[in-house]
Amino acid sequence: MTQITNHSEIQKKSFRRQNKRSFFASLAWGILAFIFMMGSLEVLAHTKYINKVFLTRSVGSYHTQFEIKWFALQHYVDKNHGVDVVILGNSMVNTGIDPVIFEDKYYSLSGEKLRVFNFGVEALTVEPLSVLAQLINERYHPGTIILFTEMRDYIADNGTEVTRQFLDNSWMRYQMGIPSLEGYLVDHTAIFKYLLTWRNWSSASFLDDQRTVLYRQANVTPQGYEPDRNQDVFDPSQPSVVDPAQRDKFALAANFEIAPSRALNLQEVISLNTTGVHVIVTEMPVYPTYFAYFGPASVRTQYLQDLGLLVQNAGGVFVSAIPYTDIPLSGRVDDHHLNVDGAPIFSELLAEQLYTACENHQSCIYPASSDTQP
Amino acid sequence: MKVTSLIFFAASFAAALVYHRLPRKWANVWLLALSAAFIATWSWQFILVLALFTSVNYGLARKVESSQGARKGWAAGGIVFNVAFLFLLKYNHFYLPALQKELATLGWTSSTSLVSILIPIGLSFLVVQAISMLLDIKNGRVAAEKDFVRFAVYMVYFPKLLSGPIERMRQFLPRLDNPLSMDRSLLERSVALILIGLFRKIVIADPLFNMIPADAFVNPLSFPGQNLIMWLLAYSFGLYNDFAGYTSIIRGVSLWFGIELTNNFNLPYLSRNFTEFWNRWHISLSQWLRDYIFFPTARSLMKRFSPREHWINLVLPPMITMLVSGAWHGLAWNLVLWGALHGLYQVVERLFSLRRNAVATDELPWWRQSLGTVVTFILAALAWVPFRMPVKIALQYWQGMLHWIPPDWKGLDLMLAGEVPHLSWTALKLPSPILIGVLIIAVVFDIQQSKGRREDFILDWSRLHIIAFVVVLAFAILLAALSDNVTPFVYQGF
Repeated sequence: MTQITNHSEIQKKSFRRQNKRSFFASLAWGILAFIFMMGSLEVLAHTKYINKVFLTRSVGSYHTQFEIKWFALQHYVDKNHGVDVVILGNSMVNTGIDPVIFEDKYYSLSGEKLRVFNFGVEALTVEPLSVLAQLINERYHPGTIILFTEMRDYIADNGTEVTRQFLDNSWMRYQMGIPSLEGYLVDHTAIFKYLLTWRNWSSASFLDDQRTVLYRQANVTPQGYEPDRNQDVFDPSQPSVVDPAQRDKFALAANFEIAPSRALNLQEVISLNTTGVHVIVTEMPVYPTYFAYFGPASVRTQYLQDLGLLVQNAGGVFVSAIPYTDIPLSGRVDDHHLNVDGAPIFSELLAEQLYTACENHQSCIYPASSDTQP
Repeated sequence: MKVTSLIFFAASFAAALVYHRLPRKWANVWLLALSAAFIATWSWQFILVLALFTSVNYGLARKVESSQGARKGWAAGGIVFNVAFLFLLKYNHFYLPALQKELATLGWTSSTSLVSILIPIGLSFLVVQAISMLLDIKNGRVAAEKDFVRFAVYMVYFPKLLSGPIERMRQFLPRLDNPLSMDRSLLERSVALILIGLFRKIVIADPLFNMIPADAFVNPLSFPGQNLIMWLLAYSFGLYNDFAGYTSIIRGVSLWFGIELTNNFNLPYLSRNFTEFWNRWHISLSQWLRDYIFFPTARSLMKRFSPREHWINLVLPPMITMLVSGAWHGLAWNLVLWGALHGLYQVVERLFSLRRNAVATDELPWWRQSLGTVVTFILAALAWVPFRMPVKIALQYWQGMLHWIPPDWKGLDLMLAGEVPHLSWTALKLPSPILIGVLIIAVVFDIQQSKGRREDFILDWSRLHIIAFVVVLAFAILLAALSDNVTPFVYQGF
C-alpha cells in the first residue's frame, strides 16, 4: 500500500525502465492514434454506418428543434436536389403547416410541383429568424421564403434569452463571419457535428435530453412538419388579466408597439429580395382571443397598418391571414397553435390563398432558379 | 488562470525553461514575479492583499525569532493576526451584513463590497502555512528567513497558491535552494503527474459532479433512495479525484521548476481504518492538524489526566482536531457536523484499539482488511453528506437514502424495445449507466495506482496502455472543450 514518492528512488526506477521504452514515444503514439481515430471517424461520418454509432447531430446550438430542422433541411435538399419554398416562423408554423399537403394542393391548382420545407422553430422571433433567413438563403438559394410573423415578434423584450442561446455558439458566430477554430471544424467536418451531441455526455439530464431529441427527430417529417397530436377540445374563452397563469402574457403585451430593432429585423428578411429570393410576409389564422393580451382591437388594427407599411416600404409583399373561422375549433390546440387536424386544413387554404394571390398579380411563389444544392 | 488551461501549461513550461537558465541569485526573483503574474490573472487586488499578508508574516517571523523572552507572545500574536485576517476576509458573512446595515444608516452604502473583492485565492491554505511557520520558529525547528524574496516565494509560490499542498518552511526552502535538475526522468515524471491529474479531473471528477442533478442536494426527499446512494458515491469519488487531480497537476508543473511539492493524496478510499484514511487524505492538512492541534492537545491533556487510557485523552484530541478541520473548511454547522463525525469515527477506533487482543491492521486476515476498507469508505462517504449541504438537508439526504423506490424495469424493457420513445430515463428511477461507468473507471484507476505502488504509475504501463490512456484523455478533453459544463476545483473555494 505504501507508495514511492521520493524522487531519487523514482529516478532509479525510471532509469531501469528507460532502457525498455520511451514514455514520450508512447505519448506521441497515443496522440497519433487519437488523430488517426478522429480521421477514421470523419470517414465513417460520411457513410451510413455512422448512424449505428451516433443517432443525432448538432451544431452546438442549444436549440434542439432548430438543429433537427437544420439537418432535416440539409437532408431534404440533398435528396430533392434543392428547395423551392422555405416557410419560416415559430412553433405556430412548425405544427401548423404540412408541406406535402401544401405542395399537392398548389400542384392541383397550378400544375406546378414545388419543393417546400417547413422551417418553423419554437420560440424564434423575427430577430433570430432574420439571421436564419439569410443563412438559408446563402446556403440553399430557395426561390421563395414565406415568413410567418406575429405581434409578439415586435415586442423588444420577447424571446431575448432564446435569441441569445440561438446566436451565441461558435458555429453560428462562424456563419455570421466571426472566425473560430471550433466554428470552422463544426462547419467543415462531419464528425464534429456528431461529437457535439455528446459534448454534454456528463450532464445529469443527458440521457433524457437525448431521448427527447430522438423522439422529436422521429416525429418531424422529411419536409419539416412536426404534427401536434393533442386533440383535446380547445377552450375559446377570453383570457382574464386577473388569472395568475395569464398575467405574464398580459404584462408582455401591454403598451404594444413595434420595436424599431425588430422592425429592422423584418426589413433585413425582406431585403433578401435583392439577392433573387422572393419574400412573402404573412400571418397564421390565430383565434381572436389571442389578441386580448394586446388590449383593445384598435391596437391590432394599428399594428396591421404599421406592419403593412413596413413591408411595403422595404419592397416586400404582405399577405393577410386567412379568416380564423376557416379553421374549426377541433383543429386548434390553443388560441394560436393548430393540431394534426387543423394543420392539413390550413395547409390547403394557404396553398389556395397564395395561388389566388398570384392569379390576382399580388404575389407569386417562385421555384428555385435551378438545382441549388450548396 | 485555470490550472487546466493550455495557456497555463504553455506559460509555466516557458517560464521553467527561463528559470533553469537564470543565475541562482535571480531564480527566486523570477519565481516571485511569476507568482505575482499568476495572482494578477485572478485579480490585481490580490497582489496588494498578499503583499501585506506576506510582509506582516515576514516581520512576525523575524520578531518571534529575535524576541528571546517573548517568543511565545509574538507567536501567539502572529496566530491571532493570521486567524483574524482569515476571519475578516473569508468569513465576512458573519459581520458584513451587520456592518453594511450600520454603514447604510450613515448613508454609506458601497464600501463593504470591497471586502469581497479582496478575499485572495487560497487564503485558508496560506493562513495555516503561516501559522505552522511561526510555531516552528517559536519551537526552534526552523530559523526565520531573512531573505524577503525567498520568504515570499515560500508563501505564494504559484503552483501551490490556489489549494496547497500546505508546505512546511523547513522542507520547502531546501527544495527551493536545490532544485532538481531537469532531466528526462524528471520531465517524464512531471508529464505523467499532469496527465494523471487531467484524467482525474476531466474524465472522472467533472463528469461525476455534473451527473448529480442540482436538486439532489437541495431537495433529496424527492428522489429515490437508490439514486441518492449513487449520487453520494459520485460526489465522494468526484471530490477525491477533483482535489487529487488538482494536486497531481500542480505537482507536475512544480517539477518543471525542479521543486517537489508534498503529495496530498495516497489512495484514501483504500484505507482500512480512519487513522489510515487521514494519513492518505489531504495529507499536508492532516499532518498540519496532527502536529499543531492533535499532538499539543494530547500532550497537554495527558499531563492532567492519567492514565493514558483516560477517556478524556481518548476522546478530546481527535474530536478537537477534527472540529478544527471542519472549521478550517468553513464556519458552518454542517462542517462542524462533518468534523464531529470524523472525530467520532476516530474515537471509536481508538476504543477498539484498547482491547487486549487488538491486532495491528497489517496483521489482520485479508478479509478483515477488506471489510475495514469497505466500512471506512462507507462511513467516509456518509460523512461527505454534511460536508456538501446544510445540516437540515443532510439529515433529509440520509433519510432519503433509505427510501428505495422499485425501478420501472418494465418501462426499461419497453424503452429499449423502442415502444415508448418519449419515456425519460429519470422516470425509470434507475441510476444513470454513464455514471456507473465513470465510477468503475474511477475505481479501476485507483486499483491501477495501487498496483503500480507509485503516484506516477502510468510510467510503468505498456505502450498499448499509454496509447489507450492518451486517446481516452484526448477525447474527454475534446468533449469538455466543446461543452459548456465548466466545473471549478472544489478546494479552490477554501
